[in-house]
Amino acid sequence: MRDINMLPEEIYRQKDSQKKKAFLLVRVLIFIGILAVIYGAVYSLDMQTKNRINRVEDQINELADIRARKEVMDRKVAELAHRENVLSTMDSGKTNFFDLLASVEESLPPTVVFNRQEASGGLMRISGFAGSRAEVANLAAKLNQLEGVENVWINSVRVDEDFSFEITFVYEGGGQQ
Amino acid sequence: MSLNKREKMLITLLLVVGIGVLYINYLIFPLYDQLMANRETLSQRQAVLDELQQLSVGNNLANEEARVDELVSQMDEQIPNDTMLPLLYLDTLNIVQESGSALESMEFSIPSREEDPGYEGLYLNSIPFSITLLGDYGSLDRFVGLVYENTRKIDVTSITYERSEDSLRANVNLNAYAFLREGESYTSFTDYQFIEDRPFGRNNPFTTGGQAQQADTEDEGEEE
Repeated sequence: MRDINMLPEEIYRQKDSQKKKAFLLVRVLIFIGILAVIYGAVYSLDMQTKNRINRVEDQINELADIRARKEVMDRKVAELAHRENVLSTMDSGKTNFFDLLASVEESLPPTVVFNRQEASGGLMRISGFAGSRAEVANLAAKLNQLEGVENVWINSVRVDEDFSFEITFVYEGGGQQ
Repeated sequence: MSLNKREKMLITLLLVVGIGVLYINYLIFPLYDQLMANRETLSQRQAVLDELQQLSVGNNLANEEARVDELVSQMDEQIPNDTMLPLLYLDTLNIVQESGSALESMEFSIPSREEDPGYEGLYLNSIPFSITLLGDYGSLDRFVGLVYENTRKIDVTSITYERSEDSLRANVNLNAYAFLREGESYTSFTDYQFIEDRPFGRNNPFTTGGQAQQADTEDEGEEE
């Protein structure tokens, strides 16, 4: 026996078209489904993270007393750090007068005697008398060799009995005032 | 107009790419950024929690507080959070006494703010003061040396030595320091130990009080 296709051609076309539409719809749904799953996965991760944050916050709130004490301590530590920083930098560029006077002492020739010694604002002014004219030069020359000392200047020398003189020089770190 | 198969595929692809871009840009990226921000927050809060839990164990927090207080106390000895002028005055008197020189006069100026960016309104202030001493060169030199060795930070800013008849007269300008809060009094209430058990209060400030005399006599006795 032989089957004979008696249905019209249009019916077959309609069926084919419906099949294609259904297939397209399935593909669109799969595409939307994939997008929804990806979004859902990220959203779920975010919600889990939020829940964990809430749990951690609850635990932190349970330790409120410890937290308050720690905050006070942290403020003290930050303030202390600032004070330590200031303390560690405040000496830079300043003159240590004990060392400065000691270095001047080491430059004294035997017969030079000071009447007045003034160190202020980076300038030392020395007035005194010497046993000879040459000693004034000796003192000036020696002062000139000191570290951090410059512009050593013999302002005046009076050639009388005791050779009174005045010398000035600039010392390092005098800008502190 | 009918489209061939290739054109339909291209249009479909365009639609898929377009929807994908919009989806990623307006849904996934913001959500991902939010997730990352929340994870960062979680990590920070977890670190806080871990630290708090660590501190809550045993005496950890008390020990840490004691350690910080000790450091603050050490700093207060060098540069206090108040001018502590009475202590500065006593410190200077001790230095003078130890140096062997004789004190002629002492003058204190009011504090002035130093160059300091500050921390929450707390700034370094200098307290300029000058002192006039009499003595030999050795004692004056010792005074300057002791100033630099003093626990409370004091700097020498200028020195003038002048020969008088039988000794040297020195005028030394110094700077002590204090951290002070801007706009607040530079002398806050301080429970000074050296005034404990001292007699205070008389009804006539223009005569010498018997109690004060007695206290001075006791002081002299103690010094001897």
